[in-house]
Amino acid sequence: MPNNELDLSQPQRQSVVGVGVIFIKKLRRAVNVLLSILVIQFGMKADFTSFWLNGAIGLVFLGLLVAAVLTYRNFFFYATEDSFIIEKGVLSKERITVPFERIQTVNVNQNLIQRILGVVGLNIDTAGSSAKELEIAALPKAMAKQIQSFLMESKQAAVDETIVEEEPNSTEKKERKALVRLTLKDLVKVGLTENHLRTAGILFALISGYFWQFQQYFEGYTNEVIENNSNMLNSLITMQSFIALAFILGIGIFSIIQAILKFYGLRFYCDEEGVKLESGLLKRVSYQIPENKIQLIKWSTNPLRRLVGFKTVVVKQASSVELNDKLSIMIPACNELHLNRVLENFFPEQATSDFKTYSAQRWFCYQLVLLFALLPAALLASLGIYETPFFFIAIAWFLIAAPFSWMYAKRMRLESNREMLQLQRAWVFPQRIYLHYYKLQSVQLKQNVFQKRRGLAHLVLHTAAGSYQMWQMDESEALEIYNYALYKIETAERSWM
Amino acid sequence: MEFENNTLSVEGLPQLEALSFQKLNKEYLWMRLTFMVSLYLLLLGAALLYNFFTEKFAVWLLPSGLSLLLIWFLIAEIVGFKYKGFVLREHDISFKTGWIFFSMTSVPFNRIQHTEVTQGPFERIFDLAKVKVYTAGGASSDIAIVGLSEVDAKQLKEHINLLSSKHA
Repeated sequence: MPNNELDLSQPQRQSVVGVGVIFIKKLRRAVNVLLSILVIQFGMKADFTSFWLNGAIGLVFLGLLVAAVLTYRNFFFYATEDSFIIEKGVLSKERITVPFERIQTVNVNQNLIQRILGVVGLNIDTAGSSAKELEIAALPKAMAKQIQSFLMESKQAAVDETIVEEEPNSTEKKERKALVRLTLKDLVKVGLTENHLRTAGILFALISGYFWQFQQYFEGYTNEVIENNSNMLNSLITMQSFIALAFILGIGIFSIIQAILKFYGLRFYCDEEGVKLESGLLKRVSYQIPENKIQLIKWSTNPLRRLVGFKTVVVKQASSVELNDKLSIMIPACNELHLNRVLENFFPEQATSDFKTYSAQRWFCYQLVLLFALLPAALLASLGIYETPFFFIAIAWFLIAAPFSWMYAKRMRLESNREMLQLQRAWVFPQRIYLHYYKLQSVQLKQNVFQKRRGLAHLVLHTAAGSYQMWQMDESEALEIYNYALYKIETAERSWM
Repeated sequence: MEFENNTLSVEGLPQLEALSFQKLNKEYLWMRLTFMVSLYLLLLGAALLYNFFTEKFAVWLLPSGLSLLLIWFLIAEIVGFKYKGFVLREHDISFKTGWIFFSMTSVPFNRIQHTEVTQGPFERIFDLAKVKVYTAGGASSDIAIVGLSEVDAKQLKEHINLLSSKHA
């Protein structure tokens, strides 16, 4: 099979083992639904030796198997002159046509089942927000690669039909060398330097979600415990601190496991053609963004990550807002050297002319301190009238939040040279964005009546990968950038995608 | 790549704020005012009905609150009308709006994805329409040129389409 020449003019089926992949997918979905129904209906009292229950489970199993076979039998894909077509559907037939030029990226990935069955999945992303699933669940790896390159080539041909001269394959043959590779040690570092507050939030939501679902059982249990040990308040307190400790430990372990699952064997490639990322332990994914599709590059860090010298780099491509994070490439651990290589690669213009700095005006500092430090502190202090400790919390809040807000506002700046912009914000969690002028979609100036009196304005830069604001600029400086951006977009010779 | 246009200074660039924005059709203001008064009457009717069927507690509160809101919105609309406007240049289209919260957005023609002429029920009564201009930058980057007569709206859309296809 792997040596078969790829012929997409005839409708093709997936690998036969696709039945397995589809079956498992359906099974997992069914189990998710059925399990919660079962637990809620029968509680722990379900009798798994019951003939009826076993029969029902068997029937569901059989039904899913038939459904999987039918899905497989009715799934075809092929290519016409100018588009790729997927036909699917058992009862209601569906035919999805993707014109070659609309194809954004073609990704090959492999989850655990696919890995066991020795096949890969193929995902096609299109321009625009249509969330239609263009996925082929099971293909031999060689064939998937063939289709991938076939689609990318057809797309190229469709896009630059007018451009005749094109160096063929000279660069393609060259083996790419990974710029970033992450070792297991790096992954542990990544896990430990994750934004733990966010992880705590997710974990908390997850646990309380489950707790809510099975609350009635817990309730019965805890009532029993409390009745049996009516004077064990002390042990309750130790239990609470124990739970807190376990929670913190859990966050650490959770973060490390998550990092390993997601970023195991990460390889990041970066050259004139674009970027490519491969990663994942159980589910191996491979994303690539061609150079002309890259809209902006963003990098950030946090105090923990800075200690180990890592930056999180995100390469964003054009997409609708909802799909934004799915379609961008994220590398959790780049050092200064890697980052500079990426930036030099895609932003050679950073060296060709000097940057002019535009800072947020001093008023912004006052505004943030007022909003995030003084106002909450005043509210807390007013609670202090009823409960004295709130006075101290109010003071503590102000002492922490005021310098944060002040420095955040002070450090916010926009820098511009002839060809590109960089936007920098935040103090403890620094974040920077590099962006070419010609990638902008539109520009916006915002100004309320108070700002008008003070000669201040917000500037909003709309790109195909999100909108970015520069707050409280000097009005004339904002207009300077506004007009220059329009000039650069309108005289741009390169297409933004 | 070595294209550098060194003689250009920032002062030499076309300045948007120096250009005069075109005021909107006066009909648009009347349309908005009619819309608000109709909405007010509808809500007032509902409030009065509510008062009629429930016990009489602070009967005046809801109607007078609604009236105050109406007065505020009418003032905001009338004053804000002066701040609304659009300008069509050789390479881009801009729209500005807002009295208390002013906003001005410019979309270059070579970034326009598609355009659309739409007309709500009130706009139909006043023979008005709006042209929506979509870019790839998401909802917040799109603009809508409101308060055009239906004929003008269609013409503007054609004009934009012509220019944006020329650029593409």
